[in-house]
Amino acid sequence: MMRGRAVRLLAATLVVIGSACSRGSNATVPPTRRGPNLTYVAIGNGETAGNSVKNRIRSAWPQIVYRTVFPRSAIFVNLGQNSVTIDEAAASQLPVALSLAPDVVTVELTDDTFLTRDATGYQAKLERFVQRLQRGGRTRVILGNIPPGDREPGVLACTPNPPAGSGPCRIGSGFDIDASNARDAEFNQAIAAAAAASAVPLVDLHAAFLRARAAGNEDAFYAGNDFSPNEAGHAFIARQFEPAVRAALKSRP
Amino acid sequence: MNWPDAFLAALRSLDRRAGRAALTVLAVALAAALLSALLIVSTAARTRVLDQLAKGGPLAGIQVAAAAPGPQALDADTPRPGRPRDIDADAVRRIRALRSVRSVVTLESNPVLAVAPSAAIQPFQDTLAGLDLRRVRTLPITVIVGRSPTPDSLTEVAVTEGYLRRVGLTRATAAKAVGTEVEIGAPRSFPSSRDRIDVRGRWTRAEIVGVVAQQAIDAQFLGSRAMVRAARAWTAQSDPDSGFELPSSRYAGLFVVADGLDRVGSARASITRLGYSTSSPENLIETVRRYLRVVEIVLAGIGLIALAIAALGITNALLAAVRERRREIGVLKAIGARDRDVRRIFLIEAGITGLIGGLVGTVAGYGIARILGAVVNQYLVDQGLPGVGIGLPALVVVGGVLGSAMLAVLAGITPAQRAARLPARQAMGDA
Repeated sequence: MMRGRAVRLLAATLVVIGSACSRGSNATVPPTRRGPNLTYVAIGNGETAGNSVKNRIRSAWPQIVYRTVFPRSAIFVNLGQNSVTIDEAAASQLPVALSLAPDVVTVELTDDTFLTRDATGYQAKLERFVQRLQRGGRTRVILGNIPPGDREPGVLACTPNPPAGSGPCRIGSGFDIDASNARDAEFNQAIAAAAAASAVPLVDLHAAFLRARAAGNEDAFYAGNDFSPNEAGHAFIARQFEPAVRAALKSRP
Repeated sequence: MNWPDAFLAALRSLDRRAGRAALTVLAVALAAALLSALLIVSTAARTRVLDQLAKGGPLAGIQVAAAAPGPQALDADTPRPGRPRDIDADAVRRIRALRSVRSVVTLESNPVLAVAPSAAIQPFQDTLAGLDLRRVRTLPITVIVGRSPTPDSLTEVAVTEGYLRRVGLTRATAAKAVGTEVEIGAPRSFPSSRDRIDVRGRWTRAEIVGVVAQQAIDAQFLGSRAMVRAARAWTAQSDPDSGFELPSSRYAGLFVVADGLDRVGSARASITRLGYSTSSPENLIETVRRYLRVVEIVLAGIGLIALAIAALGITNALLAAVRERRREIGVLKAIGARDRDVRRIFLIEAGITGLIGGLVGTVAGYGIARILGAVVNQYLVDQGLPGVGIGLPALVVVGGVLGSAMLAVLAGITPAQRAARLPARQAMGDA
């Protein structure tokens, strides 16, 4: 009886001490979820680079797309350049993009509307550009078209009756808005044709801005005496691209 | 009387005088608790500081800069470095081959642009440093909050107090930074038709998993080597004609651990002869060692006092037991028990008392050490320092239990002798 009690007491104490033997512990932060390794490249003009926003790194529309659509593990490079023709982009942006072997590329090259004004040649070049980017189907390419330019403050400042508070006209007082609209339409047709020929999605920024105009919101997308959207405009463009980018991520090989 | 019979007789005796036995066990337990608590705490302190110093931890390391030695290269712990000098793989190999060098940790870095979560904070330029994060404990990098990034992660970084200041936080509020995301862009310059450097970033997003205090490298972001190498690969492709300054040294610095504390000086001298600027906190190490030695002496003194008190307690309890049990001793001798049988019973009784007291005391000591550890850790956290892990070393358990039993047996020798020598007639007559 006595011996049994002593043995039980001894065993219980040893179990307590044994379970207490440890090296101590530190506070832990759980490992982060990585997600798939993806690379997103934005090819484009000044808007893609983040023109007219105070903080391009934070507010340019491709940066917003990267931040909101892609997983943390994704890599992003914005190759946007001011006033770049498709030929120049093919020389400066395309090789860098290809070297990154991207999974998703957004292309918003629209400066030929006022730099070369050659819609026919532009379409053929854009098709070749997209075809090279696609890398045999390994890269999902998304095209964006030209938003309407006739409400840009820099354009309105050059009209015969500029709105109150407009700055000086910087593109010549003889600027013909109708001709510009017609050219934009011509180039948008070329972009749509190139998208169809390459079987890539087209983000119709033109239609989206017109819808915003109809709702009375478009003027809020511009500020100052400029030709490019402000922070709200960039956020609006990012929202237009996001569904297409999400769909591209789902459909990637 | 054989040993099992003597053991049972001792147990019966303890059972009959449970109150006195409990008090004796308590005396032993208190001494054992004090001793084991001191041992556990001093072991933690030794692990944390002394071992790092003696075996070549962060404090005993030598920082090697990507620069030539300055004029007073070895005259000060942190001399001013000379002109920039690249550290390449060959330099690392030569330093590793030095006799007084135990290990070399390479540090890599790349300039980056960073975007903090708050829109109120402008993007800023700083440095992303990469190292073998498996060896972070050998570097002068202390985690204040959270943890260091996992070794191969491309999505985790630790930040320094410089980052905290940028985002309006302090050491006390550093935990708020943990779990937030920072965008990190490696720059690369491109040929530009206009008169300016055309720089584009390779952006990644990383979760801040920890805040560190570090003296390894001048950088606000610490990440894996893979993360830094990817950034460097992008930056290294910059247009050479753009005027963009590229980091030319493959390694931003080295952290060299000398083969023993006494070899730090010779290792420094050897590395300086190889042509690199070095620094190490030799003066600090010596000062800390002296203070810790004093603390150790004080702790050992307290432990010895506790042991002496416990021994006196056991001796006193057993002497009282001899006086109380003279009749029992007389009866035992009258029925044939020899002196050594009586001595054996008393010694076993003392041993059991010491064993149980040691067990209880060791567990209690561990509990006391944990409470002390919690208090100390609270202070350390308040000071922005990492906490101390309080463990229960197996040596303390074995030493605490067996040591208490042995002490009790030693303390019981005199009372046992006295009981054994008591003549049967005198014992019966006195009773």
